[in-house]
Amino acid sequence: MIRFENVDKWFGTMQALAGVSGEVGRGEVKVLVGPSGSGKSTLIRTVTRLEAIQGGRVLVDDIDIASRKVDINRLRQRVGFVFQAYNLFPHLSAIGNITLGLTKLRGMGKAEARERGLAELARVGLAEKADEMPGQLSGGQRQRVAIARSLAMDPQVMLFDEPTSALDPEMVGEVLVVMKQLAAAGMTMICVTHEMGFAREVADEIWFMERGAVLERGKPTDLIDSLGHPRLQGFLRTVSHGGDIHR
Amino acid sequence: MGYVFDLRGVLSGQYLDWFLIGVATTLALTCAAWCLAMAMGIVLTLIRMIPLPPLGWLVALYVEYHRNVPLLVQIFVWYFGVPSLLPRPARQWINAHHGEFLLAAIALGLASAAYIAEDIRSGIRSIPKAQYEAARSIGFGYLGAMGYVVLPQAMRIAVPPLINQTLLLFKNTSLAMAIGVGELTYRTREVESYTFKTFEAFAVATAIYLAISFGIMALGAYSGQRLKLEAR
Repeated sequence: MIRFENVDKWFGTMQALAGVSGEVGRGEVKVLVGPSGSGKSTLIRTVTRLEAIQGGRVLVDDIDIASRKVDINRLRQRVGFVFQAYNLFPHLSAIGNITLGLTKLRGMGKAEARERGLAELARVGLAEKADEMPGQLSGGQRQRVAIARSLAMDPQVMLFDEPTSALDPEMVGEVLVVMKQLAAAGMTMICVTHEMGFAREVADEIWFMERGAVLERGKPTDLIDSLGHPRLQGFLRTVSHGGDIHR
Repeated sequence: MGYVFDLRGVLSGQYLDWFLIGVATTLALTCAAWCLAMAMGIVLTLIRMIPLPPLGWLVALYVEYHRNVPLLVQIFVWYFGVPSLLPRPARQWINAHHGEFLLAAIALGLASAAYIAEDIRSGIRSIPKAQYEAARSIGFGYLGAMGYVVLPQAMRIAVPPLINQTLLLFKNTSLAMAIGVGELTYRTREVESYTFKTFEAFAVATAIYLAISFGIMALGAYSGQRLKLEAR
C-alpha cells in the first residue's frame, strides 16, 4: 500500500532521512518510535508530500507520489493526516471542520454532509459536541474531532504524527481508544507515538528510528521485550516512565 | 458685541435639507469606496501571494504610490487626468452620471485598498502555517486552503486595523468636495456662505462626523468581540 524506497531528505545541510526503505501493507499498523529529531514525523510527512524528498521514492498503491501524473489533492483525500497540535480550524465548529472538505471538495449537499459529519463524530464519541467551537473543547476532544475530520474523507490510510504528545495525561486514553478502534476495523495506519502500550497492543511492526534511518524493526513483543538494539532499549527506558512497558 | 451661538439658523428649512443630503452623500461615498477598497485589497493580497517576483513588485509599486502621494492629488488625477485619456463617449457618459462622485469613489477606494492590502497581509502572516497545512492535508489546493481556511481567520484578525481604515476613509471623503461632490463638508460650506453662521455650520458638521465615527468604532468593537477566535 505504501512503500518507501531509499528515501533521502535534507533540511539544508542536515540530513533528516537517510536511505529509508520499508513497506506498509493494507490493513497493517506500523508504529514509528525514536528520539526527537530522528526523522519519524518527516518520514510520514513525505507520504502526502507535506515534505518533498531529495532522493529515492515514496509509492502509494505502487504509484510514485512525486510523479507528475499524481493529483496531490486527490491523494491527500485518500491519506488522512492527524497532527500533534490538532490543527482544527478555529473559525468553524466541530461539525464545520468535518463538513468543509465534504461540501467543498466532494460536492456534497449541506444536509448530507452534516449527516456524514455527525456519523463521524459519533464514531469518535463526540456526537453531542457537533456545534461547539474548537476553543470550547478539551485537547482530547479536539484531537478526536481532527481524527473524525480525516475519516470523513474516506481515507485508505491514516497517518498519525504524535497525536497524543500535546495532551494532558488523562486525555491520552480517549484518543488511543479511537485509534485502537480504527486499527481493529482494519484501517492501514502509520503512527508516530511514544505510547508503547498502544504499540504493543495494535502494532504489526515497530520501526525504531534514529538519525534519519530505521535502526531496527520487528514485532512489538520482540523489540520491546529486550531482544532489540541496545539503543532501542535505552530509548524505551526513557519513554516508559516505569511500568508502562512491562505491564 | 458678543457672538450669539444659535443653531436654529442652520438647522431649519432648506439648510437642514442640505445637511441631510450632505450626510447621505458622505455615507454613500464611504460605502462605494469601501466596497471597492475591500475587493481591491483582497485582490492585491492574493496577487502578492503568487510566487512571481514581478507581480510582487507591481503590488509594491501600487501600495507605495497610494501611500506616498497626497490623497487630494490622487483625487485630482482621477477627476481631471483620467477622463482626458478616455474616448469621448466615455467622457460624456461620466459627465452625465455624476462623474465627480464616481471618480472620487474610485480614487478613495483605490487609495484605501493599498492600506487594506497591508492589513490583510499582516493578518495572513499571523495565521500559523499549520492551518494551511491542515487544509492541504484534507485535499484542498492552494486557493481552497487560502479561501476557506486562512483568509477567513486572517480577516478576523484584521478587523481592528480594517475598522481604523474605514474610519480614515470616512473622514477622507471630505476631500471629495474639492472636485464638487456634494458631501457633508461641501454642503456645510454652502450653508455657511448662505447664512454667515460660520461657527454653527461647522459645529453641526463636526457633531455629525463625530457621531458617525463613534458609530463605526462601536461596530468595530462589537464585531471584534463576536469574531474573537480561541485556541486551535
